[in-house]
Amino acid sequence: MISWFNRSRIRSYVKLSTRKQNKMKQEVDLRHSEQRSILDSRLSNARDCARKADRLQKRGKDAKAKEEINSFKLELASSQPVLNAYVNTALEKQLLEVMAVEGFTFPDVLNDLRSDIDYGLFSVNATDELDALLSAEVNPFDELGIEI
Amino acid sequence: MSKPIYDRLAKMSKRKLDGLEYDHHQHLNRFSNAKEGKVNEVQSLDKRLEKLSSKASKELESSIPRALGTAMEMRHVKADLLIAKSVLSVLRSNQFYHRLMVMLIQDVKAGVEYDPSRVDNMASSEFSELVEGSILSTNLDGILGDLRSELDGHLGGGEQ
Repeated sequence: MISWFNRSRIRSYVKLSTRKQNKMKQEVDLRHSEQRSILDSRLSNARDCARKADRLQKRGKDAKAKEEINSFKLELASSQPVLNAYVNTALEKQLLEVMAVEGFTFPDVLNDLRSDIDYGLFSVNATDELDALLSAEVNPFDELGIEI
Repeated sequence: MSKPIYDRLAKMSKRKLDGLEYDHHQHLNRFSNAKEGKVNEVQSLDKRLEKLSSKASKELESSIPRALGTAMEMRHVKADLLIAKSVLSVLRSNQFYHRLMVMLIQDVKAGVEYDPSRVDNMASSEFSELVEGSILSTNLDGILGDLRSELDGHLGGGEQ
C-alpha cells in the first residue's frame, strides 16, 4: 500500500551490515549532490536568460529578447528530468537517514489503525508516476497560465 | 494492531515491561526531536516560497521575463517542500508508534483494560492533518492562484 516501503531496496537496507549501509548511503549522497549541482546550474542559467530578456525587452530589442526567452525555455525543459531524478534521490537519501534512527519502524505497522494516512511522495508507485506527478504539479508556469 | 500487542504485553513480567517502556521512551524522544527539526525545515521552505511568490507578483507588474526567473526558483522550492513534508509524515508515524507503545505498556502496568476507542482517538488526532487533505494537494493548491489572477489581469486575460 505504501509503495516506497514495499521496495526491496528499502526493505533490505535495515538488514544490511553497517559497512554496506554506509556504502549505500555514500552512493546516494554523491548522486544527490551531483544532481543538486546540475539543478542549481540550470536554475542560474535560466535566471540569467530571464534577466537578459527583461533588459532587451526594455530597450525595445524584441527579437533578441525572444531569443533569450527561447534559451530560458530550453533550460526549463532540460531541468525537468534532472528535477525528477533529484526528487527521487532526495527522497531516498532522507528516508535512509530516517531509517538509520534507532527504533525506526516501517509505517505500514500502523495500517490497521489508519489505512488512509497520506505519506506524500512516498505513496507514489513508480518512478514513472513520480515523474508525471512532478511535471504536472511542480510547475509554476502552467499554474501561471504562461505558455512560454 | 494494538489489541494483539496489548495481549502480548499483558503476558510480560513487570521487569520486561519496564525495559520495553524505557526503550520506547528513548525512541519516542529521538523521533520527536527529528520531527521538530523537520517541521522547522518545512516552515522555512514555506516562508521562502511565500517570499518568492510575493516577489513574482511584484515582478509581473513590470516584467514577465523576470517573473519567469523567479517562478523557476519557486519550482525547486516547491519540490523541496514536497520532499520535506513526505519525510515529516514518516517521522510522525514513527513518533506515534512509540507513543502508542509507551501508552499501552503503562496501561498494562496500571491494570487498565484495553480500550480500542482510546487508541482510535489517538490515531485520529495525530493523523487528522494527513488524512483530511493530501500532502500534495494541500501543498500545491493556492500557491500561485493569486499570481495567476494578477497575470490574467496584467495580460488582459490572454497568453503571452
